[in-house]
Amino acid sequence: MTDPVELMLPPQPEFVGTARIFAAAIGRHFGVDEEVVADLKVAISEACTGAIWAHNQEGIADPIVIRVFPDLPSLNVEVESKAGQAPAEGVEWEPVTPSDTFHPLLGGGLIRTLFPDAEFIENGGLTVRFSVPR
Amino acid sequence: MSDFSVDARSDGDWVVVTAAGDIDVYTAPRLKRALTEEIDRGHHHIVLDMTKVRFMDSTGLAVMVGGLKKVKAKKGTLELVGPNDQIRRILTITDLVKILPVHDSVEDACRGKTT
Repeated sequence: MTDPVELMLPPQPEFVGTARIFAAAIGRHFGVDEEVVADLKVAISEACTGAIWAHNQEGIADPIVIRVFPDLPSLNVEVESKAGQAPAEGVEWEPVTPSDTFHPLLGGGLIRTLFPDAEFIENGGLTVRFSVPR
Repeated sequence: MSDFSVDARSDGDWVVVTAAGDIDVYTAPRLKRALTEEIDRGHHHIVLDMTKVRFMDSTGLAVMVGGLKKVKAKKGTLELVGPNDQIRRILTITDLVKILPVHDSVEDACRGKTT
């Protein structure tokens, strides 16, 4: 892998938009098609939302790290957090959480659908990893 | 800093909630609050105008489904207007397009005309 481009973000909801701006800029810089850039923004938003939720649940203030490795033929993307668990695969989600606006199965399911090689690696926290064709 | 905004206006039997900007974990609670306030005021036929929403992720989907469940409990409806391609894509992927009707205009939504 080549050296990554990195962004570190506090685990706070107001920074998810910054993560999307970063993802879109990096994707376009490395020649990713615009339709795939749109999917990349969704996947980054979902991964960061899950990370923020998990950090807040566990009271962890460490930053979330987004790494983009500009490899060929794909960008390799990682979102690393210090908390969280891999969402179960193939589980029916109950689509209503009246007291909440976050559902880990839905976010994880979207990432897996948009980027089928997505991995959710539990390593004392959670690293979400997927590749983006360029 | 987010430029998200949400407001509501009555249109006959309907309330039109207009959102603009990005809907994500930071802004979705504001959309949820706006929908909940209208439902609590007794407005159970809601049109959510998304024409000016640039981006939405699963936090927005969760808010919509929560709102849908609340209005359905009152025999009401929640109709979407003008979601962009990115939003239509996640509505399709999650199959929510089957339960959240999508329209091209507020007028069509109030007439129940689905695209």
